[in-house]
Amino acid sequence: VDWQRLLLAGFIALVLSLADTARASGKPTLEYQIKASYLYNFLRYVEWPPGTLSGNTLLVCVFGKERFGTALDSIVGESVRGQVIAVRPVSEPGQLDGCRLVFVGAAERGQEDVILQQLAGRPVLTIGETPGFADRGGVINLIRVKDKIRFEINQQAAERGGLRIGSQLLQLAVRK
Amino acid sequence: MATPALAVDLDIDIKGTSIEQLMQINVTTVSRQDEEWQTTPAAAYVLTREDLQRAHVTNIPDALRLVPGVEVARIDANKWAVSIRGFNARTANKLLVMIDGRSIYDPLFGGVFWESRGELLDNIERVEVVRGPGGTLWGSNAVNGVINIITRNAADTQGTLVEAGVGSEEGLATVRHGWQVGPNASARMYAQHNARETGYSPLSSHDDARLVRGGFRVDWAAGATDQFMLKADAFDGTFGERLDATRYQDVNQKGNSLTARWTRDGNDGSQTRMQFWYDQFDLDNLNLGESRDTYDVELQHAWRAGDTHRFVVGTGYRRTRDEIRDGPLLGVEPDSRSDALASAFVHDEMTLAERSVRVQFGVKFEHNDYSGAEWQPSVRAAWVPDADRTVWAAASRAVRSPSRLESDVVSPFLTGNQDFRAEKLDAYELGYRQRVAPQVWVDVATFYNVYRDLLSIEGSVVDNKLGGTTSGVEIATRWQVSAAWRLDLAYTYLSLNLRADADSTDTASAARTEGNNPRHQWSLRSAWNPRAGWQVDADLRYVSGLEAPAVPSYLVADVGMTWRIRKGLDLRASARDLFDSRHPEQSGVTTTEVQRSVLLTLRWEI
Repeated sequence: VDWQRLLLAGFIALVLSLADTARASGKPTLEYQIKASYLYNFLRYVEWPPGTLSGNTLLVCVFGKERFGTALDSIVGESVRGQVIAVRPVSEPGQLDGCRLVFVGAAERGQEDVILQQLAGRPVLTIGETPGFADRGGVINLIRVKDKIRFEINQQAAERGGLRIGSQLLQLAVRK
Repeated sequence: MATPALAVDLDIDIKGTSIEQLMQINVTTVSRQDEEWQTTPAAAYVLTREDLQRAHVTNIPDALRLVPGVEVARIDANKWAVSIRGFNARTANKLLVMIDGRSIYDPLFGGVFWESRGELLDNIERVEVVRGPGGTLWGSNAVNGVINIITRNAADTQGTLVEAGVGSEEGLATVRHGWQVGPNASARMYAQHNARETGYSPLSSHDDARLVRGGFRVDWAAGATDQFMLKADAFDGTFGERLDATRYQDVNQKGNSLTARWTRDGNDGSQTRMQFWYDQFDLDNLNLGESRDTYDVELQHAWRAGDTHRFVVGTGYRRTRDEIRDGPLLGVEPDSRSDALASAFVHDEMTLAERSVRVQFGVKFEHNDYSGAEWQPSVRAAWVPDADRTVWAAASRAVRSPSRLESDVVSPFLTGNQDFRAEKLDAYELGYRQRVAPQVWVDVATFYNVYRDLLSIEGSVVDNKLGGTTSGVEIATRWQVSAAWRLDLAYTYLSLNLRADADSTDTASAARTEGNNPRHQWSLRSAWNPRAGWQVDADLRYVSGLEAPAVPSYLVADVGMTWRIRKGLDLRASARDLFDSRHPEQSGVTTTEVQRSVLLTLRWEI
């Protein structure tokens, strides 16, 4: 039938016209969307010691930012506690000046110890995603429990850096 | 590069999702599951929600065409034959099909009424398909494979969905509404109407159909460890069919079901699960009427013992009671029967040699009222030398317990046999998966199956005098060409070699059972996001011819496109079974051919 050929031709034409503007659209996995949302929530439930949030930027530094794709884009420019969130992709411990939150992606196993040592006792919220991250001195560790993403909190590490973690957050943590 | 990131639609609202909500979202479909399934010692495949949505299908059998190694053949416009690793027919009885753990095969004949059984596709989180025996964990009928349809948590289907589709072969209308019923409890309800047009036949077809389904689901997360789920569904459908060259009938099928589940996840990695389900089904067919109630309760506990062992033990009890109305040529004796099925299993998954070796050992004991006690053991092992490669092997025994008809049927051409034994399978499998390049995955599974005590007809009496072997290769490859384009290529080879025992007089069953399966199946699927807000999908499928009854091979293409007009509003257009105006997939007195079709759908999520 003719209309079916027409339809096919229309389909091909549409595909070709779309191809012209084709571009990669990197949708992050659900896991990293969830983790991005956790980061945003943590920013709201954690209090930094007075004076440490100087200026008006709350700098979030991310090792392994590519895994988040566009998931962190929507929080950039949002304000939390009067500070405007900025996100900086980092790859080396030397780039952490001014960071208030440092996310250490699973790929950073090799330099995780260096990062944690460098930030120990400083008012920086360190967040990891490898087993044992909180035991090794990280403040919050995002872990997989069954099919879900939960988190552990190392309260001592938080206190050493002067961070105050909201009680609601502590209640929801898997292990404090 | 200063180009602003394209607005890709994310699955969750990054700023608007609370920690409590984040804690409840399942990530299985995406990540751990990929890892888990990458190293699993079984031929497993998962259809994700995205796969289903991108397939532009409106029913589960058509969705299963996407799964490598699954045979799907449409019999008429409302009936399908679905199988894995051979033995395909409308009465295919060697599959276990479940919706959220509720078995939906009919104990009357051991097969699934695919025309009415199912689920709203928009409610499905994923469809897990395991090819090969799953009897150790899942139980009887899981001989050649397990299809487990898992629906979405009510927390994931909040808001209102309205969907309307019109097409050349069908029309559908869907509404769904999800809401919070408490701080940690969510609910949804839905209803769908689906009308299907007739297929092609030189005779009058009369195989149009109407189906209404609806239901609700409530999920409640009580604290960090306990979860409750309550789900109820109902359907009512009328399915036309041809009886012979001149006579037709409208078959009514309706059913209700209820599933309640409690899950406790311990902090130590243990899990306890208790599930109850009830299923009621009515079939009003001129040939035979069926009314059935089934109750099932299952208890399962999983825990870790050290770093090496993970144990799962479970037990279940099922009672099914039927009333059969005899037709003019087909009946059963007795007319009503109540049967029990009791089962218990233990399963040990060992992780050895610094996680590079996974061994699963399990055995299931089952007692049914037809063939008595049945044991189903299996051993599976995977060697994972590095993150990119898995080699696995398995040896299992599975049984298919007798159906009500095999035991009790009374008809001029068929007489049941109360001594009919369970059909038995010894299955040997070998598989290999590799990430051959950063963006290319290959999954190869092979099997050699040895069957004993298969159904034969001696004179007109049901018996167990057929046996034989089947073998095959299933290859699935995936190439993530770019972030926006994915290609899936699959090939399935299947060979059946059945024969009647020396003392059998059945000369027809072996050839007929062999002849109804394609030897080769190819498919190439493309999923492409040309730009933000657009999805273009295409699927090319080749199925080789069937020998008996003869059906020619076919090559068809399905194409589909989704345009996100604005957030929440999608326009979807698809065309299926292109190339030929029509093609048959099965042959028989009642079959009709699949016609080329188009479907236009508007989907609105508020």
